[in-house]
Amino acid sequence: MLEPLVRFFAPQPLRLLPYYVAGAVVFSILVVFLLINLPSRARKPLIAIVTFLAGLFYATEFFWPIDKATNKNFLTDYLVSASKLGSLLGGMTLTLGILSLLRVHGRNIARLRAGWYNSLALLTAMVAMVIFGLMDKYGTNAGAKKVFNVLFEGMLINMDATMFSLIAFYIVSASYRAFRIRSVEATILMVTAFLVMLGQVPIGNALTDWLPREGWIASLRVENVKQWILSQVNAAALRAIAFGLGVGGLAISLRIWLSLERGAYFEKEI
Amino acid sequence: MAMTPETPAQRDIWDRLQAIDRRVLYLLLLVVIILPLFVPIRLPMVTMPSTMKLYQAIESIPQGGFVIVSATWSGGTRAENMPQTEAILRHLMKRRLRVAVFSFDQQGSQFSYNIAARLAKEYGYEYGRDWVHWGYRPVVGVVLKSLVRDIPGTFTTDRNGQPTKDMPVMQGIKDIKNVDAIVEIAASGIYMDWIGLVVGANPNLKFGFCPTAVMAPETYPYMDSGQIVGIMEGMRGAAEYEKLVNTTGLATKGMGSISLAHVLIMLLIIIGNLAYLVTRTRRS
Amino acid sequence: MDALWQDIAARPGIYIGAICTIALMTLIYRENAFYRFFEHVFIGLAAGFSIVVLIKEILDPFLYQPVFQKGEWYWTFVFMFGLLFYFIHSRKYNWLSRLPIGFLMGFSAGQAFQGFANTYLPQLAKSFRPLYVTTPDGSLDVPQAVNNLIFMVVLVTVMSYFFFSFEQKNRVIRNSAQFGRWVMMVAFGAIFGTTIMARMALLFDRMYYIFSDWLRLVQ
Repeated sequence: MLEPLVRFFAPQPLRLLPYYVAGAVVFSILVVFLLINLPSRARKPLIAIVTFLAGLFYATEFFWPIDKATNKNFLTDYLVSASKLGSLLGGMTLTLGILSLLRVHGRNIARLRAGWYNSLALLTAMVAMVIFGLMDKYGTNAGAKKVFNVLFEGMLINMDATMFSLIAFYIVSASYRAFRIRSVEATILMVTAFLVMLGQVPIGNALTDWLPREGWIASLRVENVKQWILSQVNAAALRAIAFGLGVGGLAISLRIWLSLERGAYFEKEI
Repeated sequence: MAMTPETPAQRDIWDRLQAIDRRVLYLLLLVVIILPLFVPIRLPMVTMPSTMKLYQAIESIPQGGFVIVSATWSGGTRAENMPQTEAILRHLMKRRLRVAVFSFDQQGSQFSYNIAARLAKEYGYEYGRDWVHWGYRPVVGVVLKSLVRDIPGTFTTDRNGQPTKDMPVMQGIKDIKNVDAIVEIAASGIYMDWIGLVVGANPNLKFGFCPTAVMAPETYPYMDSGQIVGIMEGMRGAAEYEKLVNTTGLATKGMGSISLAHVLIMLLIIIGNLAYLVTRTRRS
Repeated sequence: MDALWQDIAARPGIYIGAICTIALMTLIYRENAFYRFFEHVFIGLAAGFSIVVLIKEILDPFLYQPVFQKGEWYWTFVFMFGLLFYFIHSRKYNWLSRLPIGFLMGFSAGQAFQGFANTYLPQLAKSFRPLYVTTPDGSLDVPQAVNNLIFMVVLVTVMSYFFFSFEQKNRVIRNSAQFGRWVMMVAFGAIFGTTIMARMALLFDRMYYIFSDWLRLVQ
């Protein structure tokens, strides 16, 4: 009974492909048209069903007993397909913000608002990256590949790194102006921070380099003090926090899977 | 009780210190970062146990073993993750292990390919025979779930669109049980996905993690439980690893600047608090 | 001057990268038009790169090749489903984007059970440390026993800090929670210390790029 269905969804020869692809597109458009005309009270249940079915796959695959002989259950063979599905679907979110960018900056240029030349630079950079990026992958022009290298390694990477490096300046300013020891907790935090900072740089290590490397007294070497703080106190404290986060995360995942989650996004009228 | 009057000069110094222009602080920072570039500070460095554990884990893999390297980082954390990636790949290529590189980050895919291609030339590694780059994957969980069961099925093509099935580097690699080690170099909490979805599936699998320094403390519980075999902590870890693989890279060169910057921050915190304490005491 | 032009021609990427780096760094002095211009260029390049990655690394291997080279036409349905994401920009049909969003969220939520079991159960097992530890020759290993005790005390006290389901009236629990708060400060101090390293490393990389890669003043 399922055989005709399996044959229908099997890979098709290239001569029939355009018809199947066109049919899939037309069918999808029809479905979208039906969805658009769905009554509003049916929308949230539909989203809940889609979310549940998607999660049911992985939950069932994990909980369903495996056959000891083959070390898998009836869903294991579909993990690869699910991975491709997730990758394709997830990948399509990469450019969601592009339309907003085009709208906002396009409007700036069209209406010649203050700073319109910045918006022009943005759109020009975007178009240049797309053209030369695709030429780098699909073209053979060596000049285009050089331009892509300049755009990617010369400009994008350097600017990305520079933006993040500005944080270093703000940390210095914050450390000097805002880090005030006003309580026991702040004192503990500062002392620990100092010990860890000294323990992780050679200048700090040099301060206690005169202590022997073996024996109990070696524990007083600053790098060993740092290591002890991280592996004993820090590990225990963060593990305790992680337990709480883990249980909370599981609870949130369950609520999202069963569409029980509340909040601005989930409760919004659609 | 009458307070001891202070001279205007004394009052000015502490108040002035508290009101110092932030650009003076920025200039000080630039000086301490740039100075060691011209006047190198070479101080001995002790290798931390966390780095040594990672190094020894890689050393224990038999020749011809298969290692997956995931370079999930971008330009923003290049300073730490790039030397880490380079150090790990150097070690793997020195040991003549088969290497598969990929990334969950768009930029990381390009970066890791460039680094691996450069090092491959140095170590005589041939693409397809000794190493492969699987490209970029956007969604972590689904890829890891699939990778555990079927690696060639998950990565059917490499970064350039070439089929991976018949590549000599992929011979005998079916699922996670055929992988000796995974090393993740990242600036995010992706290690939790690896631990949750992959590490438990093969008891012999070694999972090493190379985080940025800011993330290193939160990974210690996982090293304690054995779920992570070793950690290369930020630039310091990369410098230690460079020493272990007998090379001098960006991380080693940076230790002098980082050291002075740390000393500057500590001095500024002390001075800032002293000034605050004095002015507060004076007011009360 | 000729040597300069030749160097620029040989290494255009480095020169342009240096200009971009310096332009963005001018922000630390003051916000200015130079910075704003390059900031916009940066956003444009990043946006363009994401389009390139979408085509090169997603649509090509996961859609074009399976459909048009292997005949796996059914991936077209997935692509059309993914296009529903773009309804997020429509005020009237915005809700359609929740379908693929809900699908991906369901996928992640379904993996949470395995993730939780594999991540936290080994952590729980390793938290029960022996308080009586012996050395290979059979004598009590005092440092390790003390470490284990400290570990367990820290773990329990920090967990007691997060008991928010009931009011902490009992003095033992209150003191335990207070101690837990203090040891958490140790963890946060460690994170602060390592954060300094991370941020300074980023700045060092930029300075190295300027003085070594570009100006070649240092090796």
